[in-house]
Amino acid sequence: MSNHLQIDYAAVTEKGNKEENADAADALVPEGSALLNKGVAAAICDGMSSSEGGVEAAQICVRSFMDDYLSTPDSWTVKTAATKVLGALNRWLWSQGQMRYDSAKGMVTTFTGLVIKSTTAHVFHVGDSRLYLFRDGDLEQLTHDHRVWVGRDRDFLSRAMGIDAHIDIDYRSLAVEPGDIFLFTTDGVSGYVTDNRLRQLMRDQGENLQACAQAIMEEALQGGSHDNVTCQLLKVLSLPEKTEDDILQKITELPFPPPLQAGMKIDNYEILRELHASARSEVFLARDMDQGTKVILKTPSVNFRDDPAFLEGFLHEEWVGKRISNSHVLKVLDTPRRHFLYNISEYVEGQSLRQWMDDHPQTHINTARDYLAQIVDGLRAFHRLEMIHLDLKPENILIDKDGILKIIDFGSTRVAGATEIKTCYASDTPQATVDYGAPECLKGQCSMRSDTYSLGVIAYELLTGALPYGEHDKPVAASKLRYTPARQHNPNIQIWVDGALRKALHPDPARRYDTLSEFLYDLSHPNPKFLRATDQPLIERNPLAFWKGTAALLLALNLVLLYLLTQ
Amino acid sequence: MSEAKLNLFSFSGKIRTLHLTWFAFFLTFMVWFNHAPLLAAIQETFNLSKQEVKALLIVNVALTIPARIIIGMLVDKYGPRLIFSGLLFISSIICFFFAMADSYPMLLATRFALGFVGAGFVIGIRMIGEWFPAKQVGVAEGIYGGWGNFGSAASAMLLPSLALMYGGENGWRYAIATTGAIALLYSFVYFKLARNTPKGSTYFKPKKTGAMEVTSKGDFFFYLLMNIPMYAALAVLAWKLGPANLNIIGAVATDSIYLGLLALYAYQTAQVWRINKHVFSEEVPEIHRYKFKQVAILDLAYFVTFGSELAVVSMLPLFFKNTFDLSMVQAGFLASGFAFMNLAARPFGGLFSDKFGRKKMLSLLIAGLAVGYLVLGQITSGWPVALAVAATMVCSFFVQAGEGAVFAIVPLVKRRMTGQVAGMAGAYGNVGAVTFLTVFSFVTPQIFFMVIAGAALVALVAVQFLDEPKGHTAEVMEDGTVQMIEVG
Repeated sequence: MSNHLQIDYAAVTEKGNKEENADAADALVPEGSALLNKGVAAAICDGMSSSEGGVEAAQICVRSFMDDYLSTPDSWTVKTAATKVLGALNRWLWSQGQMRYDSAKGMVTTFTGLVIKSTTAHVFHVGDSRLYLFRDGDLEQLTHDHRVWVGRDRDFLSRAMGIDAHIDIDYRSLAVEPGDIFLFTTDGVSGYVTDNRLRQLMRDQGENLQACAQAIMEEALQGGSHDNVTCQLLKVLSLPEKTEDDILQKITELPFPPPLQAGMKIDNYEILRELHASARSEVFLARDMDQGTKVILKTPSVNFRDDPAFLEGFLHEEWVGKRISNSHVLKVLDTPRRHFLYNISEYVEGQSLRQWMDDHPQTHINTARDYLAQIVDGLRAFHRLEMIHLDLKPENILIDKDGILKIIDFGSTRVAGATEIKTCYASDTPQATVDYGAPECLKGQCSMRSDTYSLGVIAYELLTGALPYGEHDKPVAASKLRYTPARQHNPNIQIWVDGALRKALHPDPARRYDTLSEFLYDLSHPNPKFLRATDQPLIERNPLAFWKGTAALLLALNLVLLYLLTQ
Repeated sequence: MSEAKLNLFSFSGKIRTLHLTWFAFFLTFMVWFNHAPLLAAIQETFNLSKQEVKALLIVNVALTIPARIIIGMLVDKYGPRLIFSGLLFISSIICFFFAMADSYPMLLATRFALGFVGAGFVIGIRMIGEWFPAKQVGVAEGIYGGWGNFGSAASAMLLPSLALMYGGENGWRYAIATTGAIALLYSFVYFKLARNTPKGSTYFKPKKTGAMEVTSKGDFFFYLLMNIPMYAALAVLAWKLGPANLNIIGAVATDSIYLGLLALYAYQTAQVWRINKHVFSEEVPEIHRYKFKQVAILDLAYFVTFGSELAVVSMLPLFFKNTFDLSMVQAGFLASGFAFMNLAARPFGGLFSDKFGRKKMLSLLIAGLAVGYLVLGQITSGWPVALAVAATMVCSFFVQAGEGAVFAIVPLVKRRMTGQVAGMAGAYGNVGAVTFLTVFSFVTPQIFFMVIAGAALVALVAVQFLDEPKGHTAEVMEDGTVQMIEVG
């Protein structure tokens, strides 16, 4: 049995009674890692007959959808990727229609697309082409025709690509099983062959896709179809069904290096010295003997020799690093001649933000702003790719000699697109650092706002040298977090800066900043909302003073009572 | 940035944690065996029979078997720092009660409760594992275990003199209370200074398991079988204290203990089933398979090494005192020679094992300790004291190096399950102690030593069935180039 996604497909199209064929259909099966990361894509389009550029629109739509979808970042989910691609395509068709034909009907087409990634099918649909699923002898229509009926026998396409700058696309996803056949048809078929006949034809000829498609088309033509007739069939032959053995074998194709020491040569790297060793990984300074440059070589700890989840995480870090190109994110380098389990990244000469903070407690707000802006720049690169870093902390940020900050360590980074790929090791509880990880991550509900929280902790620590919720030994639930105003540690901090920190650090992610830039903005522009801080009750502004005051009051009362009692 | 070598004179970072933690373990061992060198005095105060004294020795190690499991779960939940501090704190209180005991039942009860403190080992192992990289963790745990176990030697050396210094009939009470006081103080020190993880390190949620994983049907039953001795040891103890033998606890109490143990075993079996039922329906992927046989053999090896050490450390001071007619101080001091070897022998056992082949080394060490105990079995009052002490020290070298050798193999059975394998081996050490001390309660010291020697021979045969664990698959060439070797 094959262990990856395999499909067979066939398509036929005939212009029928029409002059031109405005239908288009195609499928694309990428090779190698793209098959794993992107899956199989197929689409059918029917250019609107009353539209001047309908033929062109349909062809462009099918072609571009598949090409553009394949070139979206691997880290995106299918839904995000297809939505972005179709949105852009729609806007382009609409503007071309406006420009070339000066009409809203310039380049209009239906669109029905299918992406099968791992074991899930994702359907994107707009217009009146159809997608059916044939499974176990039964035929189910997966799409809903976007038509409005005006009168008894007159109907119009109500939604299609290229009509308006804005578009609503139907989306649904379903689990695929081996043997499933997906049937795409345009209205040249659906108007003339009943679903019952389609089912019958599929049952009779489902084994031979080409013959089946041909039979459906002929039936439509015989039925008197006076439109273009197009029919595409896509059959799932096998699905990726990864067993643990497969995954681990793949991971452990690379053996662990032996305990490394200065002077050893491994592949084309010479170990110069050990930089850091922990119970989880070991980091060395090494020299690339081909290029003479210094690099960082990182290996997982043998403690995790047979822990697939950890090893997958280690490889995952490299995968993430290679996909981000940003001056504030550490570059992971290619290792063409690798024979052992390690990864190589650029060497940043400098220190960690932790060391820097130890040397500069309570930094000036201007420096903090500069540093935070750099971190945000790096973080945005993650977020644009639908990745969440999830382990942001001063130890994971490096400062080089020129004061450039770089985010490192992507071992915990959650990648939206990767969670769609079926593996046995998707970890539910991400690994974060106590006091830096957002509280909602404990419950496994991480979002980009979790990174905002971690950034907030770093900002707070830069300005105060302390932690906003105190130091803990193990993760604390959101309900138990009590914010200490930054001004208590550093009276130079403006009240509105404290307000911004507090908002970024809110235990409830819904009440944090929407975007990182808002946070940055509020750190340098007094937000009027935070200026009214004096309106807050004393217990929130300064709990310590409140309780001290209360205790003093109670003591005084007791003394009075005592005095009265002794009278 | 970070030192690649262990600098033991440092007091920062992981070395600081190592020092803090081995000393905590040292104190638990000191408290756990603070009665052994003072047994003569205790016997005198309460006018105890030989049987009663021996029963006191057994109860001391009994509770440790289940305590290890409970402590292991607590460490998962609350982290080593809090649990180690808590254990020291609670054991100091129990220790005070032992010191103040006014009857034999109270002595027994408090001593039984003190068995809990013997589970301290588990906590520190977790702490060290969190702080040290893989290549140093073996040495670090060797130092932790060896120097910590030395606590019993410290008790044997210091407490008789201390009791004498306090003087009077109650000197031993003050001496024992002193160890409790130190533990109490240190519980606060440890809580203040120790940290669960290096600063800024990523938090990993510990995996929750109620039982060990096995990977074949045969191993499933093998595992259930290997669990029986842990309960049987406690049952034997109940029988020993019950109406059939010492008659310290009543028939009803004894029967309810039997029932309780049976229920516990049933519960554990249910847990084992819950975690492992899949081995009956599907095949375990190759990559996850391991042979439970390896675990069982290591259990047996630890049974004779650590088990005999605990038993001998308990009885040796009194044995020396009676055989050679020595003072309590002299006997304690000479008997401490047995545990003294811990400082070096245990780490060396691990080192030799890595260097000269693990199965070969373990066989050699167990054979050595079998001979050693045979020799100890020959000691009579006619021997020169110096020779007897030398014999115990040589024997104890093999015993403790054997312990080190066992723990050098533990991580190689299945990396992922190191903690569980170590936990089971440790429990077997305690089962060994209970077993040997129970034997001791029926026979003369000479026969007691012979029985251990016999058990060691059985373990020696078992070790021959051990599969030599695989090491690295990459080799470093003379010039420092790393080379791949093809493995089957």
